[in-house]
Amino acid sequence: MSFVFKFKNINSVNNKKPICRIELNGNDVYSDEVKEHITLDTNTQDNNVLRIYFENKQGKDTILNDQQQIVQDLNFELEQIIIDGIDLKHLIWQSKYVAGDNVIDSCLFFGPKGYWELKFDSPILKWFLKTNHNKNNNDPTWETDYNFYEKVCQKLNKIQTR
Amino acid sequence: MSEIKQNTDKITEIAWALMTASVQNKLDIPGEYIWNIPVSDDFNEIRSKTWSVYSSGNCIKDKNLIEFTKNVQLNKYLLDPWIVKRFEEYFPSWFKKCPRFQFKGIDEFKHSCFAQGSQETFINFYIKHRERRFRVFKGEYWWHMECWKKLGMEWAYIDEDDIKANDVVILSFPFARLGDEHPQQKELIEQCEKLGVPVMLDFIYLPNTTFDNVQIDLTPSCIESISFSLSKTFPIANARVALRMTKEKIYDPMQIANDENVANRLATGIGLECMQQFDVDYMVKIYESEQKHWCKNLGLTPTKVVHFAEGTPYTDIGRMNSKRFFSEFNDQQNRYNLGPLFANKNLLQKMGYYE
Repeated sequence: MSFVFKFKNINSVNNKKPICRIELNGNDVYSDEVKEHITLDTNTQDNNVLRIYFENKQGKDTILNDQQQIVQDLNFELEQIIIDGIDLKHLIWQSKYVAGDNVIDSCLFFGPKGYWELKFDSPILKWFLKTNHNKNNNDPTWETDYNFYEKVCQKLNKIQTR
Repeated sequence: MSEIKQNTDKITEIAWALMTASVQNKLDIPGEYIWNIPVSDDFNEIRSKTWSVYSSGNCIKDKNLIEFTKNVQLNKYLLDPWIVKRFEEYFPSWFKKCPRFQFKGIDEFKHSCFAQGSQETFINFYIKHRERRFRVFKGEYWWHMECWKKLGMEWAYIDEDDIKANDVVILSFPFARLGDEHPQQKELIEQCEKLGVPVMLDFIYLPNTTFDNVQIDLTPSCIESISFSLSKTFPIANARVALRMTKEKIYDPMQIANDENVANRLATGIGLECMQQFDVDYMVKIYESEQKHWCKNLGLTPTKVVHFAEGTPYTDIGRMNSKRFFSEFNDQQNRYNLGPLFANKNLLQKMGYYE
């Protein structure tokens, strides 16, 4: 399954760049500098836990002025995740950020050392439609339509392109 | 007699099959209108297009005709000053050749004028009768009402008010929503005749009708003009090939352009060649058995127009009032266009839908 992660506002401090580690179901799938685009391929299960760890944040990476205001900080933001071609769009907010004992719901900002976590199921489209409807109650026919789509895709997979 | 049970699930599944196949470039005959072609393989994009798979009145994308039109050499017509006249003369005789159509009084319609689609005929009719109130049955081609509303013209559905002397009527035969004669057609024409209300009859679907013998009485003097088109007959709708016939010569923009000899020669050229090669009821001969097959297969009722069937709407979402296709006046939700099924028979066979 393909994953595309898009990050923005990646801020360095004194030439130190943020490093993240992406983990899927307890397995590391990426560990390196945070870049605007990170793409990778990995296997998923029926139920998945995706985590993005902020690996290298330390106290000295937050620089304050005399008024205790932050003037420089090592941080970044998650902007978008696309799994198997499905843009999770607003559903990336169905996540949490864990920093020690603090759990912040719907936080895409990587400030303190910690990790961001999203739970999702495969197939991703089915999970997307179901989660979207559960959240917004705006797509009552999602399951019927998904089943039609799945069925015709399976049939079409056996047919050559014209 | 047992009631036909509509297989809405299968109808919906086929709509999904066609639109998903379109994205995957697996249709036998690709779509020709952007409202019916998903531009990406995004689920919601495909889903929105499934709602309109059967909604249009468009003609059957017949492979033989498509191949034929691909090979028509059109450029020669640009330099042919007589092509429009030849088209105008050939059209009525081509139509009359079909023994199933009996037009009583058609010889009175001496003036033929090429039109760039029926819409040009309609526009000129609107201009001529701009001081009158336009009247149509509900379910008539929505384009009229959309234009009148946007242009601020006076109009009303026929069932909302009596026909008055200052009215003018447009009526399709067969009627657009039903694919058959409107049950009040005779009564309406009698009323118009009594009141001297001008009538235009729109015969756009007539070539595709399966009537064994249709008698069309054009003798009432209120029938001022009749409109024919090839758009629903042959896959040349976007060439805009149509004809207006009138009892009196009407000096409106369309006629004046024709008299000036500046009408569209490419359109008349391709129209003429199609007529010379194919009978007026070519589609009926080829597809009437397909219409019966699909209606039985899907639990729909065949109409008198070979590429239409009647049924209950297959999607509540796609046909909700707020999402009527193109227009709030589109009331044709019970009419199914079977053309996409005819055109993609091979694909649908491979997918197991053509039983």
